[in-house]
Amino acid sequence: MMTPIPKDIPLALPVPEPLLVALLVGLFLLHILFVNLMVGGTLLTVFYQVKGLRDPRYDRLAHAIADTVTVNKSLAVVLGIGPLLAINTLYTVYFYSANALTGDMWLGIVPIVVIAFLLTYLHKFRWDAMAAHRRIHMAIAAAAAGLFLFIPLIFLTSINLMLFPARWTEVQGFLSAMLLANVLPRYLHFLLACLAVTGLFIVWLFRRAGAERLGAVGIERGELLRTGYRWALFPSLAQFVAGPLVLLSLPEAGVINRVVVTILIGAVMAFPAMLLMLAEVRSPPDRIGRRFWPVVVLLSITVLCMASGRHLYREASLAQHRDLVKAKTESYLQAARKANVQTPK
Amino acid sequence: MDFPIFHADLIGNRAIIATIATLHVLINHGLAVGMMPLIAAMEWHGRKSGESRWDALAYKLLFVCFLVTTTIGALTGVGIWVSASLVNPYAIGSLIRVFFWAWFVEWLVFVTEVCLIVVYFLTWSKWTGGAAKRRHIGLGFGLAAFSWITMAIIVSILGFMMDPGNWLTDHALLAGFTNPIYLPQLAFRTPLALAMAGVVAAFLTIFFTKGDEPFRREALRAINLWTLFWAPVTLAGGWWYATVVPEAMKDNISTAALTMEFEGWQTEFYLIAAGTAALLYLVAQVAVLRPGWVPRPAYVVSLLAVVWLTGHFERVREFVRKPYVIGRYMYANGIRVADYPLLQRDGVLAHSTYSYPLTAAEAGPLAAEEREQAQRGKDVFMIACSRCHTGAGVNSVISRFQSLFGDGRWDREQLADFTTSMHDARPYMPPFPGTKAELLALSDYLVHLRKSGLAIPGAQHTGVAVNARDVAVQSAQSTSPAESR
Amino acid sequence: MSHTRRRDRDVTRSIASRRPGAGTLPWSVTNTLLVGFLILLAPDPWVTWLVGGSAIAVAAVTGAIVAVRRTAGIAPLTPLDVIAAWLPGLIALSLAGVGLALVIRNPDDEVLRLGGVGLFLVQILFIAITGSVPEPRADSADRRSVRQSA
Repeated sequence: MMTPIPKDIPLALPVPEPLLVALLVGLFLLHILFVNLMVGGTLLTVFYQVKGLRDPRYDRLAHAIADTVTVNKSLAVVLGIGPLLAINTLYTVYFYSANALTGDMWLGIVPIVVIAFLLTYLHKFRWDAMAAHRRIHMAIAAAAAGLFLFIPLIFLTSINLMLFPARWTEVQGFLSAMLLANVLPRYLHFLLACLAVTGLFIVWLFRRAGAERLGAVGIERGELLRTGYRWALFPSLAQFVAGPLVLLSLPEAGVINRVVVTILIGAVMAFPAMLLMLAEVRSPPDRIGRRFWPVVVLLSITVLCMASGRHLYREASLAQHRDLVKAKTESYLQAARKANVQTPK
Repeated sequence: MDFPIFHADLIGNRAIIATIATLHVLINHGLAVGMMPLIAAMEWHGRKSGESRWDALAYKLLFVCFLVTTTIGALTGVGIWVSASLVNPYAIGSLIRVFFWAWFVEWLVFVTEVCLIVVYFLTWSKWTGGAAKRRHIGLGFGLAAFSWITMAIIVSILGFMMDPGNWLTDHALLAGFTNPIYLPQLAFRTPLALAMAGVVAAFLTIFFTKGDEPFRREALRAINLWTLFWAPVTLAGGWWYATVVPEAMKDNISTAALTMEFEGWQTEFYLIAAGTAALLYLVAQVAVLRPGWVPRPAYVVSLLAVVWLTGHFERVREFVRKPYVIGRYMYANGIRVADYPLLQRDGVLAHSTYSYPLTAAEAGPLAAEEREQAQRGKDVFMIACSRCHTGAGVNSVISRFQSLFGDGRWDREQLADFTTSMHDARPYMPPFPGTKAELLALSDYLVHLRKSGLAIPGAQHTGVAVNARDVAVQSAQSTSPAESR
Repeated sequence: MSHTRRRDRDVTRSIASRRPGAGTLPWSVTNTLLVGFLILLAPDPWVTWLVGGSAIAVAAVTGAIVAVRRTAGIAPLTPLDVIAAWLPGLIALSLAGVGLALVIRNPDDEVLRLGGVGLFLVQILFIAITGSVPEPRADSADRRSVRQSA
């Protein structure tokens, strides 16, 4: 099967490439932070609503988390446009080709996310009104959670497919593209991240909370923070298995030293973060929460390394193909210019 | 187009963008750009008059707007990106190269707008009384301003697509931004959004003032006053806009407004449109005079009228631009004007990376020697025609030819001859971008398609193959045999 | 609710009998229609300008008097009260002018002439109606009393 080498858009990049790369990586991290909070928040809301059937304090915790999901979801969507713009510009040929090949599902993002968002609003604004119909109320949240679990697969599939032009002539529709390496390991990596980031978010939410906010939930501050740290710690420990799985299942073409080193640095920075979180979980109530910002800083470096490593992989994977595309575009434009001159108007 | 070609054969690719984009326009004009200043004004008036029911009404309107804009509004905005990149990636890819900074700045304004509306909404019941209320009202007007700025930026890109102006010779952002259509269109859309918001608000007020007839009358009078003011400004802006539409595109208006079948009804259409606008205006004027004289269904009619007028305007605006997707630069099929001499000499297939394999259902009824010709014809169709036409769905190419050549036997030479001069007979059609041989292959394919009645599947269903007829592929194969990556 | 409406109607009727200008509505309508008829028949653009322009001038003066009266009794006077009193009339007068211009600028196009006269008539009628029919006091009375109790 030959690898297709398409022509690129014949207009110059509007912005120097390094700036586009910085925008792509940086803005994408902002976007994914809020996506993590949106997905993780919805999952945790369902979890605590179920727990809340026995212990009403957890129902109130679920409510507190659900209140943040509606804000975070709006930020997640709006912050997604920046990286979308950057990737459209930097990888026009690759991104659009992958979009088209998975077109029906790609387009499906719009109605699916709308429904998920509307369900989230219904769930939040009808919380008290549906007090007598708890199970139906939870079902609404579960439905939203289900949709939020599916949508990332659509994005991951497209983002993955765009890196492998050799596969473009092999896929037929969304499912075949989704089953390519290494969509599913990355999906697992992403899900664990959602839980971990949301756990840290819970710590942030209640670490400086006043008596009123804590009283509204009814759980003691120390216990709340410990809960948050546990959600952050255990999925993050699992990442030490999921992460290597992603790395090892990456198609080899792009795995170069720079990529591996960058990712390893990120993983190494996560170690002390784990230790700090463990210490936090064991802290007495008057000291818990003190190490929050160091944890965040360390894990931010991890995440930045991961994103950069991913970009290096992307570049390495496509480097050869990019040169071929450029050459073909240039020769085509030359031929077009010549034909224009030769043709009488 | 040198991308795997996404194709929706049932509703057609145009309908995908049209549905998403029109929904987005209705929401962003009627519930955001136009509505935020109205809500802030209501909140302000509530404070000035001391009548708390104004504040309550404003909050209820904001709630509806908040719900709709942050779900359907936001996602249809993303949806325009998604659908445009599926339906015409060459056009949107080119536009991004020109307008990257404009879109980037607009995005920053959007982020601000989202933050502002979230804060505006969440602090409504908390920032009450005195300085806090004043701050809240200021926030509302600030939100309105940012909403308008997003419109002010995006309208430039829409205007550019119709008439790039100086950009054709000077490929700079500023040249593109200051295209001749920009200010007139903005002068039209701003009051349109404001008037639309008035119609929507009047409709919603009926529901939000149940059981309080005196206040309902007062609210309806004030809201219709708003509509009454902005409606003539909209007409004035529209007049200015109409004067800058390129002459050649004005010829398309009758087909744009009514489709080919009803081209002759142009006068009737103008009368109906004018009548509808007049009715909208009449309802507003009577409601200002005596709100009690306006029956409630009239507000529903007004709402439907404004939705129809706006939707139809968007259709006309998009259609009159044809045969171009970017005026004088790129045709609606995604091929640049500058590419035509080369492609008409060598053929589109000689410079196309992809081929769209015939499915088993398509190839089945064909004899072996017919298959290659049909494959060629299908590829030509996908590249040159599929952006606007379908095989068996809306605007199907079969039904178009059927109205020309009837139900009898179709002659391939006749089909080819017509297609060669089609852009003279129908100015909204781009010229055929290929060779005569390709035209005959296309005709043969269409004859088969008519018999089979099948829908044409896109790359998202059939996948793609590397086109063996691409000159680059052929030269690569002749210089380095058996190169498989 | 119907009990309240009946009360409003009674209030309206009693005010109407006391208000100057009440009962002149049929005359205003007839006058306006006659003016429209004259404009359509006018042989010369100057006649159209004269007749139509005079009608607009009269409507402007009448409208201004009504607007001043409307805002006289209201306290506190909010910007909305001022706008509600003056804006509809100003817009109606401008549109009446546009209608007149349509008639004068299109001597050959029957559709546009009729449209122009129609527009002119409707707008002048609105001003005439505003002047002749009293405002139901239930609205402003309610608002004032609610404000006082707020």
